[in-house]
Amino acid sequence: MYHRKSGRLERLEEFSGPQGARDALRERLRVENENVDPDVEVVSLNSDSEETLRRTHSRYFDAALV
Amino acid sequence: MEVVPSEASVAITEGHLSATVADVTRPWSNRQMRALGDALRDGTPIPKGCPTYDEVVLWYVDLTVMIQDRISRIDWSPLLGGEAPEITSRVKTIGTLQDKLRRTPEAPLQTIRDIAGVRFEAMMSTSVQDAAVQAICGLFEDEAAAVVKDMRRDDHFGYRAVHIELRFHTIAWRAEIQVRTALQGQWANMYEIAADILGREIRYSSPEEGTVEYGVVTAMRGISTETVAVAEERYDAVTMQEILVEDLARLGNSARLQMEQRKLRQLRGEAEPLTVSLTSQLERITSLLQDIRKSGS
Repeated sequence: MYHRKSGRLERLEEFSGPQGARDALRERLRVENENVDPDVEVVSLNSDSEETLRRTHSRYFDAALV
Repeated sequence: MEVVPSEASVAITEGHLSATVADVTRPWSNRQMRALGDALRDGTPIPKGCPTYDEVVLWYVDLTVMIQDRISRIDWSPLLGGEAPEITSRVKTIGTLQDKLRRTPEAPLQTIRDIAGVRFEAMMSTSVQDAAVQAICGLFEDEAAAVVKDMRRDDHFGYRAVHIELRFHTIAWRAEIQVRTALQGQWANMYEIAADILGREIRYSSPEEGTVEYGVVTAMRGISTETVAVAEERYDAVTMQEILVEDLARLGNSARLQMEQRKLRQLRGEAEPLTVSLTSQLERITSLLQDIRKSGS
């Protein structure tokens, strides 16, 4: 969960294993359905590691986790 | 029509990736997909018998990961040397999908090319980027028609990259693969932060002329279309010259080798300081944007 206006990464959760992408997406959809703040972006990204995502999607990791 | 549970539509099985992409059939007709797209665009209830957004993206995610996995399995070292590509994927969020459906009301949901998106990023020259694009297209040539969109010369509001749209033959399904150099990716990440501050629409349109926002956006786009483009041209010239020097060394052509080695040193002297300075400039602007965002929140 990422707050666009503040740049805060509000929640980061890793889902691993062969069903990881699907589990992450399910959780994304669940959180997205509950979210009422239009500035909050809920994303699920698939990668071999968090380090890779920190480089390729650095926008989400600029500010520390709340 | 009964909605087939997405779990049944495809399974990711090690070693059977080729078979599964080709064998998958989409559980919903074009008419159902179009009706869902219309409802998402208009914000109206989804008609009875149509899938929900959640069902559709859960079906898409398996195929997205399959494409990502197939690209990841290639040995990229002959092209990229020691620089392994960074390969990621995602399915489009409902908000960005609705934005796109509203921007392109004539396009039915099933023709949106980037519901499934894979990103391939590496420290590479633009010639190597071309070769990577060809390799990826070749990887899927039996199953899909590839439409390549080169946005390096014809940028999209400053955004430069090469995108491959895969149109699968058997499953009426599309996916987009973004192929970016490290510099193109760095600029794009910086611009995304600017979009968080100035509004997401700067990715698809220009602010009103004469405003501060217009000045900021124009300057940032100029960095991409002018400075990054020039730095990449110079880096590419170095890469091509390195190949020539390696070939001459292999052939034992020492007279020409010395001349081309001198040229290589000169090209490196022109390319490397610009790339270093540009990388640092992009980091600095990104950091300033982060500060602006923090102070405004």
